[in-house]
This record gives sequence, structure tokens and C-alpha cells, in this order.
Amino acid sequence: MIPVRCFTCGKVISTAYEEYKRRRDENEDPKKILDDLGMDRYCCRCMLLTHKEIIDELNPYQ
Amino acid sequence: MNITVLELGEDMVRISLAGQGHTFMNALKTEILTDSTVDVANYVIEFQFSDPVLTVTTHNKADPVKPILDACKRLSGQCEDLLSSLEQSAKK
Amino acid sequence: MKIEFSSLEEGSASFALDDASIAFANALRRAMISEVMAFAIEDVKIYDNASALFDEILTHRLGLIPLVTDPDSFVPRSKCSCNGAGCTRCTVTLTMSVEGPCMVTSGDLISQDSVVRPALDNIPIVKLEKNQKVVIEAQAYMERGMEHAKWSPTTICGYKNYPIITHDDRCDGCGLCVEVCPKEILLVKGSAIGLKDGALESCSLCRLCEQACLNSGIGDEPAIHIKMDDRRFLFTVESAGALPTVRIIKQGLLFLKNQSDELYEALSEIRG
Repeated sequence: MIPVRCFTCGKVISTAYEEYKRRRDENEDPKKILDDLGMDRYCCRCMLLTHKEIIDELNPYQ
Repeated sequence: MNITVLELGEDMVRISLAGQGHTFMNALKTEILTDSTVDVANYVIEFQFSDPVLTVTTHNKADPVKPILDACKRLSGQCEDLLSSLEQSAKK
Repeated sequence: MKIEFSSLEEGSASFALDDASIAFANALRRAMISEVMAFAIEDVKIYDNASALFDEILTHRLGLIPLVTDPDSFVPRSKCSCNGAGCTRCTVTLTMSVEGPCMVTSGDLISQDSVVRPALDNIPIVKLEKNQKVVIEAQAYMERGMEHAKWSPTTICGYKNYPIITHDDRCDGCGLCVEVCPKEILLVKGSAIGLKDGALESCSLCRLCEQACLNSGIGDEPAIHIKMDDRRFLFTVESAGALPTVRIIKQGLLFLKNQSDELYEALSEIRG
């Protein structure tokens, strides 16, 4: 799961992830998506850029 | 506020202020130093978990506690000024 | 002393603090970050957690959700008459019961209070598959940001000295400093350097323009001067969502005022 807040500054970034993921999969430029989502600082941008979602891989194992 | 006077002389006072940190102490110290009768005003937090100890000494055996009281009053007044200024400019 | 806003919104604000000492500016900054109280979830009773996340991770994620705070109608737990047991004056209970398949969000938290509720409804907490279930009861209360960052109402909170940009008559408007400025606030005005409208506050005092001016072979002193006003500060405050920015500033000032009033009273009492 995407962290709720940015590790560095504490801004809530998890709300932006769904839209970020959708638009990234449509091959949009991540720079533009992040700008649109109001991610101004590089700490927050890095949180979204470098996230790997593994919840679906964990879910079969209780 | 829980305070203990550790030492009180003619021109110097040492006070321990329970539960205080750098946030208020540094502002207070700087404000005390603007007083012309004050020679030394400083605070020490010896360890991370210890209470700050404020030391104030004055020139010419002037009362060392009065500058602290005055500084408190001034700080409080400054905050009040800012609170009313904040209210005004937030309305605009 | 005076506060002048250059921008003011619910979530972020920037203002100039006029005629203040560095110590006061720093005290205000520290007070806003670590002394202003906000609500956050602290204790969680987990009745059922069949999700892929451990109880601890789930609880940690819940704790980080910013909750809208009303500092007037609640008291901090440490000062409450219930002595930390948790009553309706200091504690708010939130419940959540969700069954998969779905994404559990902060909007699924149902608060017993009408004011204290998640500031954002679309924070994902955990993704549930079919037959997975999460049933919890959480207790939230007010605490200082000093205790844990989740209680801090601010994200970005800082200040810088107000920049003063001047040039002397040796400036010939060569434009070298305009090119080098990373904030792009300078422009060539005739045969000298000028400032773009309203751009002064974005100057980061990096002094690259002074360097560029020196590199043009003007001599030992640059023609453009970047100075800082040491009695005027430019604050940037960003709210995490618990309190609007104006309220954060107000609570920070109230904290400092209370401290000095309390010390004044305690000292006068001892003096008799």
C-alpha cells in the first residue's frame, strides 16, 4: 500500500496514488501528472514515483 | 507554570522552569537581553530530559527578577499585537 | 509587530512577520510545529483483521490520517478531568467495519463526533479481497506534535529573512545575473537591473547573481547586492488538514502568550 503521508514533509500523498497510477498506465509523462496532482516538492514526488504496489501479491497469503 | 528559584543574590538569579523547552526559553532569553540593566541572560538544558535553568545577572546590583517579569510582559504584549494583526489581515 | 499575508488559503499560507527578533520568529515556528494540538488516532481495538497487512501497520496507517480538529470544544487528555482514562471531553471514538472486495478508505471511518472526522475521505488504508474483513474501533485524542509527528498540524513550516535586492550605479544592465537566477525574478530594465512584479519574495538568497556579476570582471564588489532584513521574516505554513492555517498561527501565538503569562504569574507569586 502507498504510504499515507510523505516520509519527509508529512503531506498526505496517498490520495493522489490512484489517479497517478491510472494516468501513468496510460503512458502519460509522470512529470505532468505530478504537477497536476499538486506534488510540488521532490520528497512527495519521489514517494509516488518510486512506489511499488505489492498488496495484490500478498493477498493470497493470510 | 512550575518554577523553582535555585539561587537568588543581589544581582543574580537562577531559576529552573519545569517542562520548558527551547521554544519559549530562547525567545525569553533574547527578550531579557534587550533590557539595559541586564548583564548576562542565558539558559542551559544540560541533558535532553532535564529542565532548562535560566540565569540572569544585572549591572550595578539592580533587581535581577524585574527584567524577567518585564520580558514576559513584553512577549505577551507582542503576541497580543500579532493576534489582533492576524485577525485583521485574515479578514481581508 | 505585524503579520501581512501574501497568500492565504485553508491548506497553505505565506506571510511576512514584521519587526520581530530571530528568536521570536523561531519560537513561533517551533510552537506551530510541536506545541499546537491536533487530533489523531492513538488507540485501536482490532476485532477482526483478515487483511494482508499486520495489525500494527494497519494501526500506524490509521494514526497518520489527519482528523479535523476543533480546539475550542475539546481539552487535551493530559489536562482532562478524567485523568487520562478517556471521556467525551477529550476523546473521540471512530469505528470502521468493512468487508471485501473493496478498497478501505478513510471515508469508511465513522466518527461519533460531528466535527472530528477524517479531513480527507479518499485516503486508502488497505485493499481487501473477497472474504477479507476489517472491524476496528479507534480512539483519537489531542496531543502535541512533540509527542509524535502525527499530532503536528503542519507539514511545511519555516521562515527565511526577507530579501532586499539593490544595485548600485556601476550596474550596466548586462543581464548576466538575469540568466543565472534560478527563481527567475530579475529582468533588465533599460540600462540597469530590475525586479519582476511581486517576485521579490521568491528570492532564495542564493547570491548566484552576485557571483555572476563578479565573474563579469566588474571588480572586487558586485554591482547587485543581496541583503537580508534581520527584523522581517517570510513564513511559509502548510497545514496537514487538521486545522486551517490561520488557526495554526493563532494557536501558536496563543501558546507563546500563555507561556509568558504563566511565567509572569508564577514569578510574581514567589516575589509576593
